[in-house]
Amino acid sequence: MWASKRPGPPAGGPQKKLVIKGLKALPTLPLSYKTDTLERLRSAVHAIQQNQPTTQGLEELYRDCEGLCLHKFASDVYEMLQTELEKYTRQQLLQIDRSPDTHAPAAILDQTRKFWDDYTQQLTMVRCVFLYLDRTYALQTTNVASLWAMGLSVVRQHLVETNMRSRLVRLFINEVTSERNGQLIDRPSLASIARMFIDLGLYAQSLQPSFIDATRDYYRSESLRMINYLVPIKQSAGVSAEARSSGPTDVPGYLNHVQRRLDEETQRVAQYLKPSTKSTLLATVLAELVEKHTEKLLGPNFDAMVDADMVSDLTNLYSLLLPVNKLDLLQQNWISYIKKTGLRMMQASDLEATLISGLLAFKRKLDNILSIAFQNNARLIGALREAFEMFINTRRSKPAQLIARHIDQCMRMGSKLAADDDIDDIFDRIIMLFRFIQGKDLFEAYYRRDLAKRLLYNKTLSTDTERLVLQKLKAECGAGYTNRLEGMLHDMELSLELSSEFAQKQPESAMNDIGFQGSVLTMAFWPTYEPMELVLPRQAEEAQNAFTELYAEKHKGRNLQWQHNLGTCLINVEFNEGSKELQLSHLQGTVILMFAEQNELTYSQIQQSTGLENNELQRTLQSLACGKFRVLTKEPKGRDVDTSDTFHFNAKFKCPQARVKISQIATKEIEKESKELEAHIHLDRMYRVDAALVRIMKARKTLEHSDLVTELLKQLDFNVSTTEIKERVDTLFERDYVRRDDSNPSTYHYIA
Amino acid sequence: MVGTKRRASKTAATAAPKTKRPAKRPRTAASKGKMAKGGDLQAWFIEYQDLDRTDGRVVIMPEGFEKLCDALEFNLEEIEPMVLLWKLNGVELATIEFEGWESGMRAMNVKDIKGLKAAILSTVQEFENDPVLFKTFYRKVFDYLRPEQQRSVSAEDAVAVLPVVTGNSWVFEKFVKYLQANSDSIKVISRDQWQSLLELSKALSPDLSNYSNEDAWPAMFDGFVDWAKNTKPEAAK
Repeated sequence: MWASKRPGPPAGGPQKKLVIKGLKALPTLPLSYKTDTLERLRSAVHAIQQNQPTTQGLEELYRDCEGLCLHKFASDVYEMLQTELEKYTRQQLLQIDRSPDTHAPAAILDQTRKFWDDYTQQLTMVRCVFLYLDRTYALQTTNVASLWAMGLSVVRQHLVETNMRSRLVRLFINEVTSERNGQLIDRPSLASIARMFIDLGLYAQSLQPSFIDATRDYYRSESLRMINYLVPIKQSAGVSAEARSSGPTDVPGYLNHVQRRLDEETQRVAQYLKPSTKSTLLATVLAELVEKHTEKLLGPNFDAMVDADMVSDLTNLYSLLLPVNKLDLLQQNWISYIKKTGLRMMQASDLEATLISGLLAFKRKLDNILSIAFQNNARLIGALREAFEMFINTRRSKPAQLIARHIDQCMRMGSKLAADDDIDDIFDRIIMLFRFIQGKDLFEAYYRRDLAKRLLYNKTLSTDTERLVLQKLKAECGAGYTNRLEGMLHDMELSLELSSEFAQKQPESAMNDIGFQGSVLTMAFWPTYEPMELVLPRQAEEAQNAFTELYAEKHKGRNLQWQHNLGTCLINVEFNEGSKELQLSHLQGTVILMFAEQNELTYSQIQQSTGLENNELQRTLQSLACGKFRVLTKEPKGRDVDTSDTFHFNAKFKCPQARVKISQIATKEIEKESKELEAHIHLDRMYRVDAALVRIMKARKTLEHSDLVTELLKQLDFNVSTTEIKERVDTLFERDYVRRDDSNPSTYHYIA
Repeated sequence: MVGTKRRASKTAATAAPKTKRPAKRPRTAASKGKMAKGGDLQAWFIEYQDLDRTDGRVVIMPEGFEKLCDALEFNLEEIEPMVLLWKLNGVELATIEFEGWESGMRAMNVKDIKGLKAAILSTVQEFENDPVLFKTFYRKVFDYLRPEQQRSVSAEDAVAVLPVVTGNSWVFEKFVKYLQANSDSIKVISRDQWQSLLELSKALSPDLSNYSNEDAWPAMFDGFVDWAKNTKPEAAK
């Protein structure tokens, strides 16, 4: 047809021109092009959806699509696709939806999952085929979603419209509930469903909220069930009780159960939920299981747990209460438990013997719990301190006395301290208790008295330990506090030196009968002792005088006053049974030595010779003749000594030991001593109150009563009652330091 | 009757030892006009003065004071003698010195027994309306009860005198009972306690509910109120 119809030049003629002419008519699409192509594409989609090979090759189909798009039929293609997808989805999902719930509900989820897996695969394929459409029409036209998005929204639309969404959610949750109840379920399936929801953008709007709600309901009823059947903790429970949500359990068991549930839920999120759900989920569980029932978990159950030292359960408790902000409640219970228990200990009938060791053990237990279970929470530590301070000081002077005594017992020879005990730790703990007592001045007085006895009667286990404790006290209260105590130790050192010097200087003969050791006590440091008249045996007196001379030489201008009631002596006495070494006080020794020459003496003879007062003499004779070790006998017999009695040397005295210590002091003496000490401290304190009152009034000139009380309490380191304060103010009135205001009786004026 | 007494004392006066007679007031210009009065007061004073003294003090002693009260028809068990003592600037119980006598009489503008009696009685009346006046009087009573060298008043004396001086105030009545109930432990009343007692009587409510140990009341009152609370039901019977 391209051949020209004009007659051509004869062959071998002049050059010919080639002319091309345009088409007369444009080529037109065949009329059925669009429908045919669409139809082809449609069946291809069907084939993909049915998982069958397409009749055309994918490349051809791609060209088909491209062609349609180029011919401006893109929207038709798009529409067709959408329609096909919708049809398919509807058909598939309705099919699934048709099965009723009761009939293997898991199956529905499974089928949905399968649908979804297939669908997404198909959609990918479709997108590949219709790529041109996606990249041009869909991209460039507003309001037209990408193929992928469109595909998803088709499913979403269907689910929402047909309520299948809620059904799926419900089934999902049912599965979760079954799993919580202990059954095994198909986790991957649930994971897929969750992913489906996520991809469809339905997770956050519908799956998660319903899930959380269901969780809340589940744990609410579980907790109510369990809490209502909580049984008290059995003290013997060394092992925490196993808890099932059906049987009754105690608090530790419940706590373990909560931990298990928390672990379970964490796992659940990891396995088939979106990670962002985790925090809300755990918070919900905690709120239902723990927060709502905190009071029931604390209270007497808490007390029982601390009592029984159930540290791991307390750790549980703490870690559960921490995220729900219930530590305030815990702190309240903590304080009240410590106060309760502490007060009980303070009121115990066998206080003297058990208090300090009990308190030390108690504190140790609490410290342990604090560090392990409560992670050294600062507020709980502070609460413990507050509680201790409160209950320890309910027995005003007892704690001071008993702590001093406890230390005394530790320091003495034969104390319970073993050689390898951590001495530092032990005393640190004692000092911690010491820290809590008010009125540390009383403690110092007791300590001084006990220290004096230890030093003078040579009972100290180790001077190093003495120094150690003093150091700790100094660190606690300042150098002024331990001033006198350190002075006492120093005195003893000096005295040792002096005594050995003295011993060297004495001529041999004089020292034959008697060994002499003197201790010089600086009066200001040591407790006050009543001076006592006593006529010493001649040898003792000579030695004493010699010592005094030596001292006077070294320290001119100082006076020595001998305290006979503090001195001790060792005397060898021959009894029928044999020779015994008696460890006696000077008073006892002086009396006994009288019997070296004479077998029988009357009371008055003894009194005349020794120069002792009745009180002292009676006490001394009682200890020698009426006590456990009777080295003298008394006529007439009896416990008490009368001025008319006669005494004999008891040659028949028997005793298994070779050295016998005869104590001078009876128990009621010691009590009397304590009372005197406390009275002295009390007086001392009243003077300090007076001084403080005067100081304050002098500075402020005019002051309201209540303000005065406040100021005063700030300045004092011990407690004093309002009545005592008023009494001291009364004395200030009497001494004209202060007067009342004429018109306002609660105002005081300083009288300059 | 009064006149005869006067004359009798005059003669007694002249018979008295020459030493330490009260010197006649110097006739200075200032006192000229008052000479007559001064003389009267002095003469009047002498009626009751203790003239057997050897220490030279010019005083009316308890005997004379009693005589005066008699003349005034005052009952020694009631408040008037005490007020009299106060108004005449007494130095101790039932003891009045001339200076006090004189200035007191002048202050009251009194020349004779009748006037004195009226003045005292009206003062007692005034106490009802003038609490400040009463307070001054009440505080002075403490000093009268107080032995000279001491700073406090014995509880016994307080018990005897308080009812006289404070009549129908229930707080004082109760307090007196308290002192009596605790006579072996409470031996003295201090000035502060005495003075505060008056304040307490004004402030304390009948059911004892407005008292607090934390207030500034003297420490002894804490014990008093406690005791009063415990004995209240009996008192109510």
